[in-house]
Amino acid sequence: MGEARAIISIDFEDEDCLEGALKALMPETLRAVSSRSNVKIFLEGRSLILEFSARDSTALRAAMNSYLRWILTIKELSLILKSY
Amino acid sequence: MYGPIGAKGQRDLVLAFAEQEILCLGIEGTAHTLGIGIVSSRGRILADMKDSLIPPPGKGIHPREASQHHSLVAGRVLRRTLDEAGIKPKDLSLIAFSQGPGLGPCLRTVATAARALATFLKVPLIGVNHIVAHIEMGKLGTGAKDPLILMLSGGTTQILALAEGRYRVFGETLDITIANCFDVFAREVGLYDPKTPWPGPVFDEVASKGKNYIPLPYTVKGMDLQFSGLLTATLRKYREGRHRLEDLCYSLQETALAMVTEVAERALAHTGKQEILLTGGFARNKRLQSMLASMASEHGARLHVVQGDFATDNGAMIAWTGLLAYGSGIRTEIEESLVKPRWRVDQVPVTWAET
Repeated sequence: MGEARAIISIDFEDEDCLEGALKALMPETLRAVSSRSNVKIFLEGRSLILEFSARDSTALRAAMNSYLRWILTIKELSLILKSY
Repeated sequence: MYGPIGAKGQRDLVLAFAEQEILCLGIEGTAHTLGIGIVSSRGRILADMKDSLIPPPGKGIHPREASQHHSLVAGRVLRRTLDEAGIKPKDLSLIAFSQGPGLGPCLRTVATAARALATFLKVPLIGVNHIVAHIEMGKLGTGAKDPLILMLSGGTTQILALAEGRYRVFGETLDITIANCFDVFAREVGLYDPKTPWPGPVFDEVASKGKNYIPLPYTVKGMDLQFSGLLTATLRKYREGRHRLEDLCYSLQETALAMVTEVAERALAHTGKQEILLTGGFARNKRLQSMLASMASEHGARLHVVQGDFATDNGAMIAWTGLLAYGSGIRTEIEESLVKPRWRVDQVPVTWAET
């Protein structure tokens, strides 16, 4: 698979949040958002790296949207817990 | 660091159950509702908050839109739940989530959130079957001990009972659910409630004004049911324009509910149960409650109806069932927490049940 590819790097100031994001997302990479895309994630310093590959740009966009939404939610939950 | 440090973070949670009251946060998100609840191991519901996606009038639930909704509202529902419960996150000892069955995109959003929370708080994670959760919350709320269960919702039409350690399916729909049958008909004829995702209350009101029964397909096959032929025939009669809408709604309702009541009666006789538990969003149908109560009394059985918000999707049921499951030894490692969109209720070992 790989007509369309993208690499996203997201910086985390909070290491705990970074760990939470990695653990939360890793199981999802074991099953594709759709049969038309694959995602790998790993850490690089304080950044979460997401490597997307998909059959076409539509599938690429769908996968990226899903993961980015999940990351936003994870960051929001982290901030909420910290506020207590 | 968020999580509890020290004995609470290190001791076996199973032992904790026996020694003190502990709290579980449960997240429900199998379809259009994102629900978060906090329940104690003694069955106290400290908080139960939800936010439901209401589709445009006449439209159903789109999985991608529902999952986007869950991402958008998860944070604020979490905060509302914690504030309502009057606790701090560090007071939580377990995170439970609806692992299936349900809509894949919605399940994955909830699973991701639950894994993150469990990691942040350094507490265990437990995946819960959505249907089992409805049943267990129904038993908690009504006091039913070992009932025949009618699980009737947008996604499920099943008649179940606990047997040999699992909730066995004694009867179910072979095509669409009873709620789906009613919802699709109501949408097609223009009946909807703009305040809720389902047209039930509006449909009920129209059906109550029906006077003439119109014969419609009645399909019961042993202990299983089929509603798609009933839906098609009713829509066809509506489009013919020869019948009052009130009579069509009345006839659709009487036919479908009689089918459910027949199967329930057969299951009651077969299992010998002394109680019936009616739950799921469709449980609020008053005519169904009346028919089942009448049938139950003929068999010397008692009807329990799960009321209000606890009959529909909610986070508290996930939390309570998570406590039951974890306390009986079931574990969900994060690496094994992939969602199960087609997870059948009879695949779940009910290790906490006594029968």
